[in-house]
Amino acid sequence: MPAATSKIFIPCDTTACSLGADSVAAVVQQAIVENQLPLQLVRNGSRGLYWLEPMIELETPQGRIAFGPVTPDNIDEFMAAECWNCSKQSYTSHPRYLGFTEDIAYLKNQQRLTFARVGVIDPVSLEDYCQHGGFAGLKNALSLESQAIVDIVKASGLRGRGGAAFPTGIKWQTVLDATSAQKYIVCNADEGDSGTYSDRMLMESDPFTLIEGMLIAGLAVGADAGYIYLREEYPLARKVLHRAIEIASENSYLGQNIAGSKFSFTLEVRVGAGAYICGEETSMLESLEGRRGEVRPKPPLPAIAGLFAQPTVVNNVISLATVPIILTQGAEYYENYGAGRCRGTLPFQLAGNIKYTGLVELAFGSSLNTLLNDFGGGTRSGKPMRAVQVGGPLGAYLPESQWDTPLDYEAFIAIDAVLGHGGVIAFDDSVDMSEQARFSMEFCVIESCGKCTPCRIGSVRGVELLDKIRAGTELADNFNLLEDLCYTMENASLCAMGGMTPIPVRSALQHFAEDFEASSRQGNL
Amino acid sequence: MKNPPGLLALISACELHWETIVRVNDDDERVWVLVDMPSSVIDNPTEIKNNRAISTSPGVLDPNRKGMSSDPQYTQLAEQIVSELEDSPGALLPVLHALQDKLGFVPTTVVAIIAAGLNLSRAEVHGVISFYHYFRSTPPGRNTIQICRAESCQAVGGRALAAHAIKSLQCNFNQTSADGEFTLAPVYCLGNCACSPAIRVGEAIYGHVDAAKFDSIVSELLTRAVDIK
Repeated sequence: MPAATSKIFIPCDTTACSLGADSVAAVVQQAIVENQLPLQLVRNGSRGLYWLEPMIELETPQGRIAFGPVTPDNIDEFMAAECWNCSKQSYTSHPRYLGFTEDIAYLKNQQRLTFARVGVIDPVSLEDYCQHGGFAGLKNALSLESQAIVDIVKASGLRGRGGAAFPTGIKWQTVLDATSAQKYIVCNADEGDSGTYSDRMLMESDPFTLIEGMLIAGLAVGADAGYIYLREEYPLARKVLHRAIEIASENSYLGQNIAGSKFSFTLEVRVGAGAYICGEETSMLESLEGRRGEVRPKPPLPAIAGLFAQPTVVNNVISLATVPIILTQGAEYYENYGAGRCRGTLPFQLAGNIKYTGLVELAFGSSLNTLLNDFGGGTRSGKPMRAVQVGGPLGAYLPESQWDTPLDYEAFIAIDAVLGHGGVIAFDDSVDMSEQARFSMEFCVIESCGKCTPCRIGSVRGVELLDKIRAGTELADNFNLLEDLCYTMENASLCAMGGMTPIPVRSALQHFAEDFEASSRQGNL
Repeated sequence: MKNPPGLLALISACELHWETIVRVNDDDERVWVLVDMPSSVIDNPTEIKNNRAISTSPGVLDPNRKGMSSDPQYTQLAEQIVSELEDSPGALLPVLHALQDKLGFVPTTVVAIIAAGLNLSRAEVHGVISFYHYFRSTPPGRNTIQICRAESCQAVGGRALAAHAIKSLQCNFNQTSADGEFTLAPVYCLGNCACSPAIRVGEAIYGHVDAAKFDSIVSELLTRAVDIK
């Protein structure tokens, strides 16, 4: 076998596997063994160019080249033409040849800060992680006082990426200032919003970044224990996290005396059980404590009395995973990206009826049109795009006239919408918006924790009202009642579940009123 | 769709809300609970054989199912899991997960054991099991098929896929097909939204699932089951 072994990368993330990446990998591995090829198969994470998955990459002296979407048949062609032999350059004529990965416009036009390593490295190789700048942020943090770390995070302008956009540094300051023998870092990995998958991708493709972010948070506030609350629907992320924690523990990045310092930190993954509401921070804390995921009234804030009544940092996966690059490159570096009060980048996730779906990490300030058209390429069905839901099931449905809205938290609030966790779901003109509005209420019925009345009962009444409206019954009265109900839910619910369910309902009513008339006319239930 | 083989006797029938529940036993003395049956079967149990929609797994709803209440295996397993995890703070969810990972469900008979072990009331344990969609108190079918019903999948045919699944498995959501092969469960997002519609079977997640792909996944699962037997 020749000495020069090049690497062939096949993603192992959930979406790549859902399209057959494992069978592609099996065929490649078999060919390598049978023909004794100078190739090493590496299962990397996904680059997030999901319409090209399974996308395989070959390492060449000039850089990594990509092929996709690839089927096992394409691998036979790949082997027959000896595409793996870089000196022959026969790969350029492979039907799935895409050129240099880094030159693919979809990837090239992004600003990947949090996702810099995602899809590049083997997710559970500590060596890969360290070679690509991993643990540099932790190393810097270990040389700083707690207050200095908190100050850097404050100065970076990082805001909670779960959707609430609360300044991360201020939350950390509250926990740092709280006096307690025991403090906790809790990572909210209960990514339940439809149309979002950035948490899953990061945990599956670069789990050490999350661990590093949690370690830095622990150093910053004086916490020595952390939990990752992971949703049950992510079985692969669970496996990867368990393995990463195992490796980190074996290499002194978790446990006692981390990286030779006096700092100690333990980390445990706790698995949810299919309750959307547990993405709400206080509900999640209840669940972690072994109870029904019912929302707690605030105050007290979790930063003062959170998990087991101790001061607790509760941050989303992306918030925590962004901390290492801030500590590595400095607050100013990160703060230089973005617009207005939104500093840095947000990983947007294109989903639903979009042609080129995938993860697009961009600095704040770009527009929805850029995502939908320049990156997304319009609808997958080829029909005209009609509505776009941004920010999950509690986010507004936006008509085309609003797609020039800048991607920034405040700009979205100004149009009664939310940016949330960055999920973007497109619908073509076959969508019935009265059906979507009804689903928003129905989802609240299914997922309400039941603690407060506006959410528990309001959502049931909301479904009934929308059924009546869709059947054309006493329209004027029922529209008034629905508005009254929305007002009550919005103002009297204990948390965002009931409080934000009116957002998609109202936006559908406001921007797509014709769908409520049309279905009434046809008595279309 | 298969019916209880060699139907012997109709044990009881009752109407509950819109469902008619019928209990019958078969040659092997197993009790089958059939729901959504027309009330005519009460008078003529053989009609069950010709009926299309049956949704259940054997004995699921039967509180007197033999071996269930006194099954020492469940008890032993629950005691073992509780003793392993009782020192962990907030141990209830990990305990329930460990049980469901092993058994596919959390038998109601072990609630008291968990409660005693974790110093909780039985009501608290029951309250947690019933709060979370994932935990179940009855055995699922051999395969649980989760179909995503959330917005991203709705945008590209998720509703049609769900309707197709109900029709082809002849069971509704949160029910099990008559042959005990499939439990159909709704799920709200599998994080596979870039390739909607998505479904999940066990640890495997599938993307771009239309009716044809669904049928081929189902048929592969049935083939695999035969192979194992």
